[in-house]
Amino acid sequence: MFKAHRKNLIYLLILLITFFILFASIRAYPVFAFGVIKLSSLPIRILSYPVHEINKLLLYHRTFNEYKRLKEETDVLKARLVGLEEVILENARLEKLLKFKRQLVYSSVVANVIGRDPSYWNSTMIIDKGAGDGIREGMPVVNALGVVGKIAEVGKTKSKVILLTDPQFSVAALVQEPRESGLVSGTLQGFCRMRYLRAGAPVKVGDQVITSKLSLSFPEGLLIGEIISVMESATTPSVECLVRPSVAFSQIEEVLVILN
Amino acid sequence: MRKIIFTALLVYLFFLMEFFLFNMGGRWFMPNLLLLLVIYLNLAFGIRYSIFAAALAGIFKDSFSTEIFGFNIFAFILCAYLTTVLKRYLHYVASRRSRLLLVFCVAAIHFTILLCLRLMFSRADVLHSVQFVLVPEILTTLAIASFTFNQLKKCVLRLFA
Repeated sequence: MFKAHRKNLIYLLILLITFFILFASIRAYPVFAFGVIKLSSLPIRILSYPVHEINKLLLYHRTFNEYKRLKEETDVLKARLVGLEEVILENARLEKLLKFKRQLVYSSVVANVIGRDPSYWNSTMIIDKGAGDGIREGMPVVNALGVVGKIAEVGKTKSKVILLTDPQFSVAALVQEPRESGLVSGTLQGFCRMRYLRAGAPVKVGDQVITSKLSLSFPEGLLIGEIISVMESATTPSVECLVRPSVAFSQIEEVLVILN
Repeated sequence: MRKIIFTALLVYLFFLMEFFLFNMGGRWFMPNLLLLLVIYLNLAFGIRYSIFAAALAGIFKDSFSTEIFGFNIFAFILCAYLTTVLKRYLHYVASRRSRLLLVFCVAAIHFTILLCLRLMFSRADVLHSVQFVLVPEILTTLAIASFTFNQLKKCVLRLFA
């Protein structure tokens, strides 16, 4: 009897072992996982390089138009800055007067993106900085355009970043114009969903969503994205919005990990 | 031994190919190449190599994911085992349609296992999962299944004939 079903029993045993792996929180898993990542990171980078370069060439016209627009914007901002410098100095004097200490500059680490997990279920990316560079779990990851995600797992020299669009990601947020707060979380669509906005909140398409000071891991005021649709019904006590992230995740090559 | 090395190399290559396709086509062209490989190895070499490939593929996938370690290992191994069961009823040698039907069934099972695991251990929106995971994954996987199987067949014939 045992001999006849020996093969099937072995396969069943393999299945059971792999199922029990799910329940065992062994500390060696992350070490092992980062070992596998280390093994694959170089070929992934080599494979990603030509794709990024081709994308740069294909998007040349768009990049040039963007450059022209940004240059005009920079000129306007430079002109404004002259006036603002006086306001900043005045603000600093007043803050000193009120003994109000605010930290505006965060220490950060620049990290290169090794690759993104090719999965429909998750939005994850691997970066080339780890615990050795001062990175810890939960630290916010941003770039010039806004929030990218946060550190999910840390290895010695590499880390996993859970992206803003991952269904497991969530952050306290604020709609900038009407100052309505809610919770932004990822979806499988590649967008984000903002929930728990109070019923009747005057939010509209095009409003910008930023991180709120209620967030434990993100500094306030970082751009998350823009509202692209508002879902409101008489039967639900809150308003939901679909938010398009400000960051184009497919084009990210470098990110900034905020350390404090 | 040659087959084991060949299987391990193929898994690594297919895993890298998934990265390459993801960089090229974005999130709307991500065929499950590793699952195709597991199915093919099951049809060509039998369940042992298929389970070995499934375990390796799962390890690669789980290493890059932020989910609980073991999700993909379990899902791939169960799929490898179920392919053996399903091929008895669905697969006819040299019939392309039956092969595609087998791929469709195994891909749907793979999705169901991952969805169940997510419902058990974390959270998942069933409707969204069907819409944004099952449909694109099955369509893209089926679209390249025949081509992948043909290339793998050529490769196997050259090396092991």
